[in-house]
Amino acid sequence: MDYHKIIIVDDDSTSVFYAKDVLSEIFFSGEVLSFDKPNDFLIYYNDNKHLFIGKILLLLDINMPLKTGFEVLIEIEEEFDEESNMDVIMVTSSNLKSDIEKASRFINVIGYVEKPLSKKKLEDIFNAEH
Amino acid sequence: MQSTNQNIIVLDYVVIELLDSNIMRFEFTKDIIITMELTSEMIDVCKKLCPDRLYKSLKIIHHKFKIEKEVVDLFAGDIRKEMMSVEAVVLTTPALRIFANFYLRVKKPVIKTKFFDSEKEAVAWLLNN
Repeated sequence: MDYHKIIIVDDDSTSVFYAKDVLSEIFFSGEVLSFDKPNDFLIYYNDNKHLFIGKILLLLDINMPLKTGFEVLIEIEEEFDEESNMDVIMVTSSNLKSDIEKASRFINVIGYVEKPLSKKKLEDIFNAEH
Repeated sequence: MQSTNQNIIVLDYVVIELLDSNIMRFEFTKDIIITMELTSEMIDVCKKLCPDRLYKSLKIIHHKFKIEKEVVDLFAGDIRKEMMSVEAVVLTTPALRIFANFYLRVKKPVIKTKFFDSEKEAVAWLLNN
């Protein structure tokens, strides 16, 4: 995984703990940031996007009380194109077909995994074992 | 391997047909894991149907489709350029579309590649490329 930074957006602290644990298990050496409020992430993103260097991976929860993961994606979607530097993995307790369908329409969504995130699930994505 | 006519070859898991305009159509007919062995088999079929020239690839995938890492790596290299000029892939499930996003963004295909929901759109795009 050649990411410079990984950002976790999830309101559930246990899930954030699991995700960070997995990232240390795979020896991710870049910066890891987490936000429990989607709006805090959006403020951070808008204030800092011009400063981002290298690729960024966003681990994004879908079901959050203040704003869903899809609403977050819609707010930053204008920045998404084939050249954008942000990849997104939806990490969610939802396995609703409609959510997978919705996620697949965002071109930066490269993975969809059910919680809890694990090393195996992350490796399956990056080894293209779909 | 069964042949029904000189432009179609039917394998256990895929039907490969050379269409007009040099389009090679692959329709995968069941859940499959693409291994190196199956890849070699399909490459042999393509060489038989379309020797000595590049084709335009049209892949139709309705079923569960996994690709072994070695095959992904192989096709991320120059071998693809030696066989086909452009590729359209028709995917009919959301999970496959997410895989397509991953493939386009992370694996960066070496030839022009685009994903579609319908075969009609895919063929139209191939004819213009």
